[in-house]
Amino acid sequence: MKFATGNQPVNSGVGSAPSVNLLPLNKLRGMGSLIALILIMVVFAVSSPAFLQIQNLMNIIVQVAVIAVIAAGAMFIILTGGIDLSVGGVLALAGVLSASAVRATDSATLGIIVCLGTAVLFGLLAGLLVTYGRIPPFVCTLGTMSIARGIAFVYSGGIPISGFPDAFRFAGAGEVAGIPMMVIIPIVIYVILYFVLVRTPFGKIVYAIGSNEEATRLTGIDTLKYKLIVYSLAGLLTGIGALLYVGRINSGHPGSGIGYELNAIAAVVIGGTSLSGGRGSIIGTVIGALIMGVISNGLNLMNIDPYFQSIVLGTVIVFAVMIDQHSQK
Amino acid sequence: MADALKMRGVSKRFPGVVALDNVDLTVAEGEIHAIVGENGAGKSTLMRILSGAARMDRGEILINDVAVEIGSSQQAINLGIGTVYQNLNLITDLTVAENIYMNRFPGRGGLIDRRKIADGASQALAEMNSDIAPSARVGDLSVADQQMVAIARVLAYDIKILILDEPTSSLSKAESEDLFRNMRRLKSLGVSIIFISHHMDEIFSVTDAVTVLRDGRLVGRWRTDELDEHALVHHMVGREVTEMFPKEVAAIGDVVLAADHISVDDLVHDVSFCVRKGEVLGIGGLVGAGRTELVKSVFGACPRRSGDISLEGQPIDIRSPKQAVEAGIAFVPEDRRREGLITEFSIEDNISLGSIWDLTRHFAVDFKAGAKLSEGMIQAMNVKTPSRKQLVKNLSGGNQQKVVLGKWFCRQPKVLIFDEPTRGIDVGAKAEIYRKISDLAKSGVAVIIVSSELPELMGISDRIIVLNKGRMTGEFMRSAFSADQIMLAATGKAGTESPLPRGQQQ
Repeated sequence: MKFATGNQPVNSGVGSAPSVNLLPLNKLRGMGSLIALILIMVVFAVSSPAFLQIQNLMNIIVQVAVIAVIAAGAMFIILTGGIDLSVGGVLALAGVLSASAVRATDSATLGIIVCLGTAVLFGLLAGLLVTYGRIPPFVCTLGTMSIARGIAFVYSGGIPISGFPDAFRFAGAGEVAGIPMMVIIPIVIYVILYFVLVRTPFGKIVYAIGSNEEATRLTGIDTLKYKLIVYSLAGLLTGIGALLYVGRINSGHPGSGIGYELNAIAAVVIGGTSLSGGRGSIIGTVIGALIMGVISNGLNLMNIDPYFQSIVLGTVIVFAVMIDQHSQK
Repeated sequence: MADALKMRGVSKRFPGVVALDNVDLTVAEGEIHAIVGENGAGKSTLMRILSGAARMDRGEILINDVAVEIGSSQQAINLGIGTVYQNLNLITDLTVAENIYMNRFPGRGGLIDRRKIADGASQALAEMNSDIAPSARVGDLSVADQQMVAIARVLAYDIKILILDEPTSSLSKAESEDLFRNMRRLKSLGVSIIFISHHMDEIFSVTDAVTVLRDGRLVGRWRTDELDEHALVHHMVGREVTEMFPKEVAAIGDVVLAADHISVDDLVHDVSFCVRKGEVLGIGGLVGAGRTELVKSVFGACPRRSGDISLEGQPIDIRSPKQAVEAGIAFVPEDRRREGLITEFSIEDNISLGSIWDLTRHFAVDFKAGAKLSEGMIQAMNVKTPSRKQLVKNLSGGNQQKVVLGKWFCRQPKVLIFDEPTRGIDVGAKAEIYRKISDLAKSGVAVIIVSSELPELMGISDRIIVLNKGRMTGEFMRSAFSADQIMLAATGKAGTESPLPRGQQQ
């Protein structure tokens, strides 16, 4: 992590803890979520012998795959200081339209193009409204969320569209050498995005925009263009999420993906990314998504009521952010 | 006179830095006391301790010879210590009256008594000889008026010691004089004022005593009339600043940048100017004269209503900073924390960001090249830092400005525009920056400098144009520089007497 994450301030300002306490905290910065993940896994491993089995661990990844892929896009937007609430609605619309296209033509390629294309267009639309339209991202994506969800229901008449050829389901239900594509695809995506964020000029510019957009603009960087790319990229990732989702459940459902925007944001935030932009790491987001999956899986194994899971998850979000805030001082 | 305030043996460490080391400060009742020192000398930390925003590690504070504990800004106010910070801390969307009564709205049954706060606010402002309407929205006021409001807000408490942190940094000369009148009035009421300023003339015109800090240590305390400017600067920097303005005559060549008939909104009207190779063009005028908007429009950062720009004789339509930078124009903004730098980034990342595409090989940033570039610029600009990895927010103002310079220097621009190049920068770093500007011009760069400091403008410019209310009201060659004439042009009173060789008189 080259930018904005690895640098330790020598003088972090007035009101900081005495230097004796500061050292270990500094070393822990950004590691809070990893430690939390390990602790949670230890607890589940002790309480449920099934937890650590390879099959179960793979299950966890499959369960979080869609959220993890969407969260990667959400993270890019949050790094620029924005937010995206539209992913659930866009996921449903992309699913419904691509399902319909596949049913009509039996062409998996067309289905994939429709799925990714719909999501990218919605990302681009949100990007245009945020940059050139100067609409705050929160309001803008609240609107596009509702529009996308509405179109999905209107188009499908509220009825799920099911039954696809295997080629279209490959991303969601296929396997390579016994490893589900739902495991392979998120890993490949995260490896690519890690490179993009840490090594490319684009990644550096994303951090710069989130830290200080005006200074970045006055350095001669077309900040609006890069924000547009970021929103489109997030759209693409939502589209990939939709492809995984539709393939897995073998159905394009207009009511799918409800609440995904909040789960994606939760993964990003648990992973230590600042909601005000400019600070965060891709590895943190992976860990954030895994924490959510592990908690849900572990509590399931312990036969704990799903409603109770939601309480646990909420508590984890609050504590993750609290620890992160305090280690920053 | 009794001593209103004594701070004794104050020490404060930050991780890796000793901010204050055994510092004493004594301020008499009804005294205007300047605290001076280069940036990083410890002035701000000392004031933050006094105003309850920071805790000291060691030392004691006595108010009227009674030892006190200051743990929060509320405690400081209860002890009669009020602070007006440089950034004023006003809520711009609320009215003047609401800002003044913030935290202690008088009212009945949980509702604010609007008449009472309006009356109280107008009385407080009237005492300061100000006619600001209590119902005005603070964001609509000029900076000078906002400052009045900030002072009135503090004075609404029973304040015995008033801290003013660089109060004149965004005020014009006349506005500063108003402020000084109010300071003297408060003094006559027995209020002690601690005044932080970088401006020598202000310190000598308004203060009674001076405490000088350097590198977190006390240099000494003097009555102001015991000192002269030269001696004070010497105490501050601990060395002789032999030549503040190392102006060297550079060979002035062809016109590099020409801007014709530039208008920006209602702020700049039909201004034309040009700058030549090796020339330093100064742009003078009062705050709000449209100077920043003029240069920002040339840089593409501020949309212009009309006007043409040409670079090296070729017309160029600059609509964005990106186009300007690609054409070889660079801009060092006035507010470097907000506009010039990404303070959460390291020195290396800030410098690399300016040349990010030049540092890219096969889609990836070449970090080795970025490190080499930034190391080179840290050396060339003499940035004082333990490492290129240091976050810019931890540097002093002068060193931050050197990082901004470094970001542009390595791109070898044809035109370099500075907006208030030395604002908030200490004396030592100022001289270094003037030296860099002079070197730049000598190397053939066309330099444009916007400055509110007349000595600075006259010290480094080859030619000065002056704006008043968005119009050009004067143009002076170096041989004909006269502080009086430039000031007259800036206030719009020069009329047709000022020489205007380019025929820009409206």
